[in-house]
Order: sequence, then C-alpha cells, then structure tokens
Amino acid sequence: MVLAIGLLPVLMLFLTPQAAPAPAPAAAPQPGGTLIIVTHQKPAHLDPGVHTSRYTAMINQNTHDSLIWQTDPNKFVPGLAERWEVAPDFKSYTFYLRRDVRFHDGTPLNAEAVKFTWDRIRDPKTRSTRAPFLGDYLRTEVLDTYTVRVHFSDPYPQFIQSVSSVGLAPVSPTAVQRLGENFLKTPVATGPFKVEGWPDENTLVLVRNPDYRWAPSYMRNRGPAFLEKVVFKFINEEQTKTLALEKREAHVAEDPARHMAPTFRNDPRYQLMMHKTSGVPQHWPFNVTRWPTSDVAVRRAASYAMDREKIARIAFFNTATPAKGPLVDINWAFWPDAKKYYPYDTGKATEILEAAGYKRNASTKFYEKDGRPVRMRLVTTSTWEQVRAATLAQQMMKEVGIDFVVEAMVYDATVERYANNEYELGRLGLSTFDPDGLWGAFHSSQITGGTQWNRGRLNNKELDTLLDRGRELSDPEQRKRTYYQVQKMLLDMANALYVFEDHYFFAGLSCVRGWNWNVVGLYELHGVWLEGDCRRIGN
Amino acid sequence: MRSYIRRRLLTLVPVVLGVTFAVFVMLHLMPVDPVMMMITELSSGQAPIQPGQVTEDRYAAMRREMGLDRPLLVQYGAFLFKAVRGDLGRSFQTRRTVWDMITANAPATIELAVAGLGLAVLLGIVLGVIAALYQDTWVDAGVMAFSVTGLSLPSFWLGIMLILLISFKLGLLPVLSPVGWQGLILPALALGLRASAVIARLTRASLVEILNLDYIRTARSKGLPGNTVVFKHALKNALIPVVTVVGLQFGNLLSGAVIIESVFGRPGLGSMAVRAILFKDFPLVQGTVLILAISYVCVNLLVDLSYAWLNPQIRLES
Repeated sequence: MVLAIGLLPVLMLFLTPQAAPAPAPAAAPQPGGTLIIVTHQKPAHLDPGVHTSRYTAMINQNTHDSLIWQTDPNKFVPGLAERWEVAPDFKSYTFYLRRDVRFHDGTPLNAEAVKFTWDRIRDPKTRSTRAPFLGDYLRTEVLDTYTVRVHFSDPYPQFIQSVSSVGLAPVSPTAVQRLGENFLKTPVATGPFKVEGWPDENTLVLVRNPDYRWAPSYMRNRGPAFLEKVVFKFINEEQTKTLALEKREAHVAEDPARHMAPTFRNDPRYQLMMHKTSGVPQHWPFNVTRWPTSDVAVRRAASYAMDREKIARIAFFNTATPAKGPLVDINWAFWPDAKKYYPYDTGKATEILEAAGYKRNASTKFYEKDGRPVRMRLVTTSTWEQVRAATLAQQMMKEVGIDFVVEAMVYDATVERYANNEYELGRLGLSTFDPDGLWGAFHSSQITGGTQWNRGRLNNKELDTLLDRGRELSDPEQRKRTYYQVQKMLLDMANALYVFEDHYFFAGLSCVRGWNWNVVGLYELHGVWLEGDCRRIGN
Repeated sequence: MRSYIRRRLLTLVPVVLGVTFAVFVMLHLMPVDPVMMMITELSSGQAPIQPGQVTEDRYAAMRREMGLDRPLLVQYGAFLFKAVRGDLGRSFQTRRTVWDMITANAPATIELAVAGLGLAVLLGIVLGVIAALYQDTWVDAGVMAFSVTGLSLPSFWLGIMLILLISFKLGLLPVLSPVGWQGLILPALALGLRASAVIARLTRASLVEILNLDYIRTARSKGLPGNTVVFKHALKNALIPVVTVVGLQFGNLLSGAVIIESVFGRPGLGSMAVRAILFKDFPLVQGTVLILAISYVCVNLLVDLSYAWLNPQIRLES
C-alpha cells in the first residue's frame, strides 16, 4: 500500500497530458496587465538608503532612480541629473537636476531632497550600511533649487560609480517624515513603479507610476511603464516556484529547479532569462600556508586536472560557464590572456607532480612525498551547486592522483574553519562590477581583518601594491593595465581553482516581452510588457 | 482549580528562562555575527562593492550600535529586562519592532496550526473509532496501515506531492496558496496528516480498552443502542489520553509549520524564524522563541484543564 501511494504521483506524471497553448507572435508593446514574479529573494525592507542587498536592489531598481546611470564600464548617462561636473581633485561633485521630476507622493525632486537623502544615510541614527558609499563625506551643499554639490575630505574618484547605484537614489523627505518606520516597507522615490503595499508578509505589489517621464536615454520606453502592476510572491521552495510557472500562475520564476533548464530552453512556451554576474567567479582558493597547497607544483597540477567545461555542462545543466581566471570574462578589466592558463590536461598534471619529486603510491594510487600523501580538503558551503561541482572535481583529481576531500557544511561552519586555518581549499565568489573586488579577495589585510575573504591567505607585498594602486587610480586604462598585472600574478602562482561563472537564473513564459538586464545585473521592468493570454494571468 | 492554574502559570518562569538562555547561548556560539552577515549580504548586492570600505572602525561602530559589543550576560539581562516590560527589541534586518513582526506573522501560523490540528483530530478520531469498532478486520488493518504511512511520510515530501497531484495535475486547487480557506486545504492536509496518524492509533487502542470494561458490558446488557454505548459512554473516557497527545501535537504542528510554510510559500512565524536564524537576527529569534515557549506552556495548561471537563472524577490537586 505504501508502494502504491508512493507510485501514484509518479503515475499521474505520465498519464495526465499537459496543456500546451501556442505562444503568440511578437507584437508592439501593449500597456496593461499584472506581471507575477515568484522568487525566494524576500527583502528585509525596501529602503536602499538604509541597507541594500541583492534582494533589495532588484526591486529598488524599479522603484528608485539614481542621479546618473551606468551603461557600460566607465560610461555614464544622465538620470535625475541632467549633467554633472567633477572637480579635478575628485573632492567634490556638482549635479544639475531635472526640473520635471516628482516623487511618488507628488512632491518635487530638488536639491534639498538630495541633501536630505545623503545626510540621512550618513546620520549614525540611521545605521545605514550604505554609508561607506559616500566615502569620506563632508557635506552636501545646496547651490540653488536644482543644483547640489557634495564634498569629500579625500579624493573619491569612484564616487561617480557609487552615485549611479540606487543605494544613493533620492527619496522623498516629506514621506520619510510622514511615514516614519513604515517608510522602510513602503519607500517613496521617483521610479517607474511605486510600492502599493504588502497584502501579506510574503506578497509585495508595485503599481505603475503614471507620471514617469524621466527614463534615462538608453531605455527604449521613455514614458510610463507598460505594466500596470508587478506582484512579487516570495516562496522558498524551488519546486513550488517551478510548478507555479508551469501551471501559468506566475509569469517569471527566479531560480526554479535547475534541472528544468533544458526544458525551459527548448520549449517555445518558455524562455530562459539569464544574466552572467560580473566580478570574481566562484573559485576555491588554495591555502598557501598549509601543505600540500603551499607547494606551487601541487597547485599547478590541480589546476590542469580540472575540466571546467565538464563541470559547467554536467553540474549546472549549462546554466553556468567555466571560469577563466580571477575575473569573470564580461568584466571590463578581464585579462584576455587568462584564458590560456591551465587548459584541462591530465598528462600535464601528472608530469608536473613527478618533476617536483612526487611519487605515486601503488596501493592508494595517490601521489606522495616523503611519505605524506597529496591530500587537500575543500571546505565549502553545502549548496547544491557547490556540492555538485566539488563532487565532479573530486573524481577529476583522483584520476591524477590527488586525494581531494570535500567537506560541505553550512556557511557559518565554513567561516569557523577558515578562521581556524583548518582547510587546504576555501570557497569564494564575489558579485561586483568593479574589479576592485580583487582587493577584497586577495589583499593581505583581508586574511584576518576586514571581511576575511582572503581565504587563500596570500601575503604578497607586490600583489598588495598592485591592488592598492588599482583603487587609487582614476584613469580607466591605467586601472585596467594594473588589474592585468594582478591577474597574471595570481595565475602564475596558481593561487586558486577557478571553477564557474555564476548566472542569475530566471525562467519565464515566452509571452513576457522586453525583459532587460542592466549593466550591473539588475532587471528593469520599465520596458516589459505582456502578450496575449499572459495578460489574463493574475487578473 | 485557581491555585492549580496559578502554579502552572508560575512554571512559565523557569521554562522561559531556560529556553531563552539556551537559544541566546546557541546564537552567540555561531561564528558569524550579524554585522558580518549584513556586510556579506551587502557584497552580493548592487555594485560597486568595495569591501575595503567596511573598515575595522565601521565594523566596530556597527557592533556598538546593535549592542553587540557588551558582555553576553549584559546583553541577555537587557533582553529580559525589556521583555518583561513588553519590549522585545527591533529586528536587525527589517528594523521593525519584534512585536510588530510577530503579530504580523502569527495569525497565518495559528490559522495553519489550528486548521492542521482540527483536520488531524477529526480524521484521527474518526479513523480510530472505525478501527476500534471493526477491530481485527480488514477495515482495522487498512486504518492502521494508513496510520503507519502517515507517520512515515515526511511532511516536506507530502506537501510537494500534494501540490503536484492536486494543483498541478488535477487542477483542483491553485499552486500558489490563495487567501482564504482554499489556501489552507493542502497545507493543513500536509501538516495534519502525520498528527492524525498518531491520534488514530491512540484512539483505537484507548477505545478498544474502554469497550472491554465492565461498565460498558453493563450498558450493553441493559439494552442501550450501540451508538449510545460508544459515543455517550465509551468515547469520552477513551479521549482522555488522546487529549494529552493533541496538546503535544500542537507543539509538533507549530514546528512542522516551518516546513509547510516554506513549501507552500505561506507567510508565518516559521518562515520568519528560519530567515531570522539564517541572518543572525538575534532580537527576532529570541522574541519568537519567547512567544512560542509561552504559547506551548499555555496550550498544555489548557489540555490539562480539559481533563476535568472530560472526566470530573479527575481532580486537579490543590
């Protein structure tokens, strides 16, 4: 009976036919409709000036506007500011605001509102984690109703990038004062959508801002958004999200079951909406303070032994791409020659080990030196992608005689192991747009200090100097050349196993049109519209 | 009776102290602190991310602002002192008061737990009675097999299977739980099935025992109808041990609600607590645990008080 009950759902899977409406042909954008997105990324709150995570930023990108927008590395276009000036010493920036912008509550955007926003972020009472984005902030000066100048005590060349993020987007001072604490859940800004409310703790509703006329120049839709509403339903379970999409109760699912990727890719009723995340790819840094990973020969051999293409194909169902080096290949400072390093070559791997004096043990089949086996422990998080990739890598290492032990655990436990230096390989990946993410991952000050992300425990003065220089320089070409040197140095020392470049993985119905990712990897719903029977879902 | 209730309510004090202290210690034993969690999460947010901007000074300042730089016993004492006055503090993540978050999320969990418990009690007692009345027949065997199955199936798996079968394949209910009673059916079933199995087994065993007692034999020999014998004379006494189990099951249902809320995407205390633990939101975890501990003690008190109603011969000692 137990067997029958267990088999019943499986039988149903094969016996009940699936409905298969044909997708409508492409047409001009049509206003109206409610877009339903199922996601597990529930934000703690919606005020980017207080705290921004990826969860918050995805939504804020559609409810807030920044003064300027970034369209390419080192290229910025006007947003709420029509133009701007940068002082030669990078200690002050002047923004000339548009005069036609209104907040969602009808109050005008002006210089006072910008000053209020940034002073609020820097106010210790706000406890904003965005405060560092205002650098060595001195004050914001109101020059006239629509002109504002921000001053820093030290040169801050990267401010132009910081101010392009929604974290520093202006908010309505009137609303902050009127709503008090409730402002965190229902912020008032200037974006193409405004927060209507939270019908329950797991549902967020945005409505179109009908007055929106100040979209940046790179957006095709310069007027109000096409969608009337956007509903976010926060659901942790990936199977439930996947079924909601397949049942057409939602238009878009964030992170549905990964094994469904081939279906969503090949079935015309669906589309994959993926975006590669820039920054430092997922990698396993070698702990250079412990044997055998302190030996560069072992590190190089392991690097040649890993077939990244196979891991991306098998472990991720082709929803990730193999990493090529310390930066993701879409990053503007990615060094093209990084691709030449460590192609998959098991013969080369064993050759390096034998040339370094390692001998293969006939019974265990693992290499050893002075009686010590080449054994390395990877301490990583027990997420499905890490476990899958690590398990495949373990087999690959075994083939070349390296004993690769996988110890997967919750994040907290990995942090404790890293802090106690009880590992030979760590795990890290950083989603950053600026190559300065390399500083956080490899600077010697980050071994036991700061974020403690230098899990390889690299303590190299020359590397530190280059990383420091990269963040001090303002000229993009000079920065790029500096980061090329950083990447070469890291690859020459075979500092890590660079595994995969992650992607934001979304799947949607094919009748959702105009989906767009901006350059920093956030989706923009302003140009999205619904075709055909998609508009009936949710209404 | 009053003194009994008073004494039972006094047991709240050691229970609350013990539970909150244990949770407090466990939270602080975890290696990653809430400030580091916020910084780490920050790193996966929108670019540009410059980890070096989170300086040692800024990190120390954030710990100070959140009260994490004080000695542990001082932190715990401050929590208790404020809790006694009804102030459970503010969530590190959402900045809302803990009380506000609990009151916003509790109704959904209570609704689910009550629906699950109601379904469990109804199904369990009905099946238990049927099994007892048809003792040692295929009906009895069938009910007991159902009971074993219900105990064996993990609620997580059951929830997903119910969505797949009822919502996806048969289309009888939506996948995304709607507001109202329709949205409760599948979650309550997934949650209550396991408890109904326990209640069915216990009801059957208890009723079988009662039906073999002399007073039931006397009632039958006096010519009373079978239904009267079972439902008026036997069942009430048979339910006494069942009431104990129901009280204990309520605690299990509250913990089961965590999984069911996640599977069905329902708001509630369970999913809120899980997120709070993951993000080291100390005030929210401690406040939630405190409220749940108090609720558990009160529910068990109600269970004990119901004994007297079921059988006046049971006296609650003064």
